[in-house]
Amino acid sequence: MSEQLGQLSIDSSTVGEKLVLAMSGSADMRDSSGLAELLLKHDAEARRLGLKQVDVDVRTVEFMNSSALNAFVRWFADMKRRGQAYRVRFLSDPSKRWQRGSLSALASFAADTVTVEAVV
Amino acid sequence: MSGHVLFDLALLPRWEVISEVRRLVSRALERLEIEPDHAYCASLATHELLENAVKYGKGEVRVRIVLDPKERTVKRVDVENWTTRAQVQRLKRAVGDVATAQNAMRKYTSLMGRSNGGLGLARVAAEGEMSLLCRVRANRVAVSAVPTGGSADV
Repeated sequence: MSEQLGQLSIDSSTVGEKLVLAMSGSADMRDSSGLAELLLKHDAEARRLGLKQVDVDVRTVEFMNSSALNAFVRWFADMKRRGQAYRVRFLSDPSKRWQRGSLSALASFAADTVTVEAVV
Repeated sequence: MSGHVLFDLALLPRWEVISEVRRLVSRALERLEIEPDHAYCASLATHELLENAVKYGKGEVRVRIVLDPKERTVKRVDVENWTTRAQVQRLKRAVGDVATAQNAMRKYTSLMGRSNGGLGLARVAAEGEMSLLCRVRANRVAVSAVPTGGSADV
């Protein structure tokens, strides 16, 4: 399924016990509530299907503003509150400088659940 | 003021221009062979400070990038706008809060998930490793982001 939020595209697919959210473009929306809602919708689907992992592929995302990053934080906070059902793995491109800084900050917010994997 | 001004842009406060300005700054710094970490931090600061100015400001926004061409570094990023007295006070508090934090990354992660603002400023300090300064004249406010260890030299 493909979804579009401003300049950010999100393709979602289920592979075995894994949900893959492949993002591309730029997440620089003024109001990130749409992104937060979308992430929570996928969270509900992952729980419903009993999935073990969600991969968020941001390798082709050019930039995320702090509001968009906060939408992820809301997802992780909600996941903490409701109990961890799956692990989250970011697939990142270390040549994109924002991913090195921002994703490690995001992972530190939910270190027991979220990992960042650099894919060259 | 020392250093070379690369840009001194006057913009309408439109959300659509923010990413375009970030890309413009990023491309120009790359072509000038500015040290890549400095270039990234300057484009991050441009984006986040410009977002604040567009969200909370009124009227024209000025963006200024000052370089040290010899060192191939960015000396500072300034974003200046008009706003209300209440927003000036809010911004001064938010900049002071970030500027006085003992640990910029801890401050940044502590603000994540909250809705009371300051996250973009904290991101500039933590990820961009920049110090923040706020100058106010009447209801005209200027926020400068200076690479840590650098001098505002205004």
